[in-house]
Amino acid sequence: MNNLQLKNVSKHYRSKLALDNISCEFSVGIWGFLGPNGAGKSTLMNIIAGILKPDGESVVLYNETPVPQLGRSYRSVIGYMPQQQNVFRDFTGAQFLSYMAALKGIGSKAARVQISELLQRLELTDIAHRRISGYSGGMKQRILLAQALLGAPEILILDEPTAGVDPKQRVIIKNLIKEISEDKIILLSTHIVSDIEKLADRIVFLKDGRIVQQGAADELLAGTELESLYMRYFGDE
Amino acid sequence: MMKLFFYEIRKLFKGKAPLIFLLVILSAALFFDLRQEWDRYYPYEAYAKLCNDVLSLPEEERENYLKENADKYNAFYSFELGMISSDDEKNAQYILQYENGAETIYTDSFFTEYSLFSDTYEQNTDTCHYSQHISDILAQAEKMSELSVFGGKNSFEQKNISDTAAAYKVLNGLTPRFADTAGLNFLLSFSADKLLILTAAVFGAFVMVMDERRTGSLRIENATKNGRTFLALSKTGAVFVWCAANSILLLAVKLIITAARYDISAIFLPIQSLSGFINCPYALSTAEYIVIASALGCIAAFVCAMLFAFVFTLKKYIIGGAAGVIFTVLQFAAYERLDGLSSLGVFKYFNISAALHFSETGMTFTTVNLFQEPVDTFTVSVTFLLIFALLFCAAFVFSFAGSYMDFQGISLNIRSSRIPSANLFYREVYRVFITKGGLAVLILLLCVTVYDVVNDDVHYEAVDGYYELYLNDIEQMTLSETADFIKEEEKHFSDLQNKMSELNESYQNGKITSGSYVTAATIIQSELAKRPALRLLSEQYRYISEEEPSANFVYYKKIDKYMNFDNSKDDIKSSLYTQLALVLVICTLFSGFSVEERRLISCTADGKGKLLIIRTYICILSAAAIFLCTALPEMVVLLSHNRSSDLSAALQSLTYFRGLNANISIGFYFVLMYLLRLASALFTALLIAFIGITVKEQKTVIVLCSVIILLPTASALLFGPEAFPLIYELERNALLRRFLI
Ligand SMILES: Nc1ncnc2c1ncn2[C@@H]1O[C@H](COP(=O)(O)OP(=O)(O)OP(=O)(O)O)[C@@H](O)[C@H]1O
Ligand SMILES: [Mg+2]
Repeated sequence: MNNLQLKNVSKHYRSKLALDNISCEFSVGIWGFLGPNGAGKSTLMNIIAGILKPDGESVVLYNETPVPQLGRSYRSVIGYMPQQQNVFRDFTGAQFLSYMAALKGIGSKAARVQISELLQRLELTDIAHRRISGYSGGMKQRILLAQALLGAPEILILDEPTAGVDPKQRVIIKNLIKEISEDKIILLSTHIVSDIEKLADRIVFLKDGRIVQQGAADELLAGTELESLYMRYFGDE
Repeated sequence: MMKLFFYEIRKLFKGKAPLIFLLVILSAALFFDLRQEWDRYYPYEAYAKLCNDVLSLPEEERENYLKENADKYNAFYSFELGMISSDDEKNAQYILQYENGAETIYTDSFFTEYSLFSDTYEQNTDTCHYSQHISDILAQAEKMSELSVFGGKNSFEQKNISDTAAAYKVLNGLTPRFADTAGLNFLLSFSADKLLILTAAVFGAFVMVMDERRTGSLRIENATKNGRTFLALSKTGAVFVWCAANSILLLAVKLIITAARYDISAIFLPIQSLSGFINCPYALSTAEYIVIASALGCIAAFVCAMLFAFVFTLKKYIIGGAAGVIFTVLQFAAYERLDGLSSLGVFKYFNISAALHFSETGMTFTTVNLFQEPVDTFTVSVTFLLIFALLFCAAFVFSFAGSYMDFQGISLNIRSSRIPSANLFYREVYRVFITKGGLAVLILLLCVTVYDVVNDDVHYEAVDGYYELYLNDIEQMTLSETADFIKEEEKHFSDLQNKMSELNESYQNGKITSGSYVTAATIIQSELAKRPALRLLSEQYRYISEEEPSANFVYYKKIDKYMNFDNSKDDIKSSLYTQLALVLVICTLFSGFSVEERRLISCTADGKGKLLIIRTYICILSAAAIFLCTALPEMVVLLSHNRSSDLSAALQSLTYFRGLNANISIGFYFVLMYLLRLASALFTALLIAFIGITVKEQKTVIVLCSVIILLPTASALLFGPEAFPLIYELERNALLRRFLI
């Protein structure tokens, strides 16, 4: 069973402390991250995705091996969806997906099959040959999600996948994530509390770069609404 | 309102892109102004020295001195070529002087000496007799107005004549003086700044309107209280300030460069002191004239900027932009092509191009026929500028205040419903060459090189032509036959020389008239003109027979050109093109991604190692392609221009390579030369790649590459070996030559 482990992970931006000595373990399942703006969610996800260097003493282990040692073999099992939307504006959706598929080292034939399937699932087929700069916010979000899903990665890092997406598409996305979540580690952050409620197996509350609470969703939610839980942790500011 | 205006100005001058643009404009102005060629046959130093000498003469002797020398050197020059000139006494004297050994004073050939004296003579005459010149114009006007062929008192012609007379009457009493004014003439002939100021103007409009529209900040601004009309007015003001700043910048560059090279102390003399400006109808000093020209240029640029500012507010800004470009081009074409006297004559001057060309249109008083009224061109230009400035400003402000300026990017992608192949190599090539326009760079480069190669002429001296004729004569001969041929020709020449001496003697003793002397001497000289070529031939024969039997007779002129031994710096020019293309293409290959894009790429399996390898691979291929674009046209011409026997001859056949030990042919040397160029293109590409990988941010990469790579080459092109001796040696074949010898 795959597992991902953080030990004493900290991150300073110059003198600003964004993550404060975080240690925790992620096993297979969907992990929902909740926290106010600037809590450190994106920072943590970027560190896990291996694109942000944590402070010196931090350790990230995948199946007991430090991630930097794994190198390419770690990168080939992750799918990453950034929070920022303005990427590859000059490409068409299809070109963007092909480019990412090429970068992920997926064979040309397999890529074609996967791309057309993802385009279809996320209802992007009609606009696949238009330039991304002309996409609406929700379309950009979906093409970014499609990109993360290419190559069936074992670890999925989704930074606010449902932000700006209409209700119908949110349902589609949630179903898709749920469907593929078997034997994957899926980390997702969002401000839409109901998404976490429906999706997440476990919930992590982040504040000021620290984990203030985490646990299995059904335990945490027993008897309370998530919203009131959220207010309990973050509402006093 | 004022605050808004200052804020807009700050936007224009504080942003990174405008600053970089100002730098680019500055360096482009520097580059083009330095590249601007001195368009006279003699060097400036010779002219300056002559001016000095002339100024030290008493005023009444100057004219005579200049005229005499101009005639003399004209005679020498014609005689040297064996051309017949008038057979009077004076000419005969000059020929005799030539025969006794004539020398030049300021330059190194009779022709340049002649042009120097005759130009200066004209300049001196113009300034000396200026008041005479004006009264001539007035008298002629008087005379013409009396002639009835020019219609009745109210006809266009009559009015034109009296207007012209009135314009020049004002100038009575003006005293242009003879001085060293060549530098000022040079200053007024700068041609690149017209294009640069227009580019700057359109860029200003782009930053002010299109860029904000593109990024969406216009939408936020438009939604505010002052975000429509007031904002539009502020932007108009800011664009004007931008145009003025750029004009001043360009003028300053121009002045500094000219002052550094030439004497411009005559700048406060009346403009009429400059050769070519004798008919200028304005009582201005050169300094004032230049300021007015710059001001007109600035307003013309502003008009153009406002046109585009207006276009950028339109819904169909692409069609509008194309129309704007066509309108601008048409104005230039109208100025270049229309005849001022035709019925459309007014349109020759009713445009921005005429306003930009004030240094040309102001040279003389010209009128156009506007509904039977003569209107002078200056008035026409200024009217145009005022009308169109108001028109475009109003159009811009109204359109800006009233339209919805959303933005839809243009899509140039070929629409296909297929999912593109997920091959990394292919995708990167597609990204760089199609999406980012690298292919356009290649095509442009090819066009420029082809244009250059086609329009490139070899400069032939008389001796080169005669040498080629001799080569045709001896083509089929064996070496000993050639020896006989040379001997015969030498004998023929010494016979001619003897005849010439006899002729000189007869003339000096008064046995023949000057007329028949000139005729006979010219006929003999036309034969003797071949002698320098024979000397070359016989020297090459001596070298082949005594020192290097493997050498041959080759036609050196074109080979010298392609080996760049002719001081034309063509090779540096093509290196500059190559490097420019390399910077543009390789930069987009390795940099220009946003932080998010880089992150997205770097967390994929092949986003690190394999991508780097593939990019390096593409980098090398692009360098080769770019090299081919610059070298192929040249190679084709090289092969078609040179006889194959010349290319297969031993390298020692060329004087540059005498004493060389290696056993290689001229053709092979060319192969080595191109290989060296390919290697240097590859090296440059890898250097750019290295910079791109380490620095990442594209604007910084381009600035760095410009400083490290383009700047040295550009300065080598401008200043020759003194500027960057190392680069200069590397670029030239000196390296190869040194290696071989
Ligand atoms: N590139 C950066 N440079 C400096 N500080 C940064 C940078 N990126 C993030 N930070 C800081 O780190 C802290 C955590 O930011 P992060 O983006 O991880 O928050 P977040 O939880 O994702 O917030 P949001 O919900 O708004 O996405 C913030 O205080 C932010 O100001
Ligand atoms: Mg975030």
